[in-house]
Amino acid sequence: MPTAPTRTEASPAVHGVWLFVGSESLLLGAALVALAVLRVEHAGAFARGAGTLSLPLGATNTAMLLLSSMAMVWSVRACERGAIRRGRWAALATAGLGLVFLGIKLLEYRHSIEAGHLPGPGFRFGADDAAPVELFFVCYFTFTALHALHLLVGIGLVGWAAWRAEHQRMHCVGIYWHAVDVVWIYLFPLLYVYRAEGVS
Amino acid sequence: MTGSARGTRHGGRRIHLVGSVLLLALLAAVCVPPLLPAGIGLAVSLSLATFKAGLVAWFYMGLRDADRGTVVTAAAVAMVLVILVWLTFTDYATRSA
Repeated sequence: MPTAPTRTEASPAVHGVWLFVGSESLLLGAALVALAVLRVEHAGAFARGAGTLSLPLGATNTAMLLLSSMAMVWSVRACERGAIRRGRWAALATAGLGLVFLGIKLLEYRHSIEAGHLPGPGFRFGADDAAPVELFFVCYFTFTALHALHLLVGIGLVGWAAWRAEHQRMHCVGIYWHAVDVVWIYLFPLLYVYRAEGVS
Repeated sequence: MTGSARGTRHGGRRIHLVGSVLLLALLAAVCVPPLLPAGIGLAVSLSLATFKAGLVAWFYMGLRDADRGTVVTAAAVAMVLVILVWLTFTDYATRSA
């Protein structure tokens, strides 16, 4: 009679995904520490830059990712129990919430670009310390664009995993998805939370 | 059935529900740190983020039910990141005013 896998039995695929996520975490962790250092060094300018971002939209995006992670967990559990259709629907909900996140992010980018906050020759900001504020927007666009790219890859992987709704595949994709969620959990306070309102 | 009862299961529905509610509550808690002085507020904010990341890793990513090798890998990554953060911000902590 087949026995349930023990805690100490390693699934090579799952372990491999964890190693990949671990290496990505070291890379992104270093980048986030650099962002935190810049935040401390240019606190006033970064607060003024953050004040132009929409905290409600940022919080909504955070909630979207948390909800998508919950849907991913449901999908993995459903696939584990052999409920293929439920697993597929939950995976599609995960991808859908990810697309909502990207839509809101594009809307925020549009607002920032229309306000002249895209770093480059055309950057404009109504304050004396425009240079460090431009540094904030360099960080903002770089980090959020990298995150969005990872999320887009994740949406593709979720769609691929949903095709067969097989448990181990869904579990591996889920680990990657939750890791992308964790990166945003750090980006949100670093980019949105500390703000000075009223300057654009 | 031999071995650990947890195996590769992904935990009960109640555990995930508790974890999810806690994560959403911590999202709302992000309003508190900006009311604190800037340096302390950022530290509190990032500590909250680290706690949330830990919840996601433990409940959602299956670390709770993972094999020992995976848990050791995750712990090693976390330790290296802690050393990175510690050494970086020790500079600020030891600067004279």
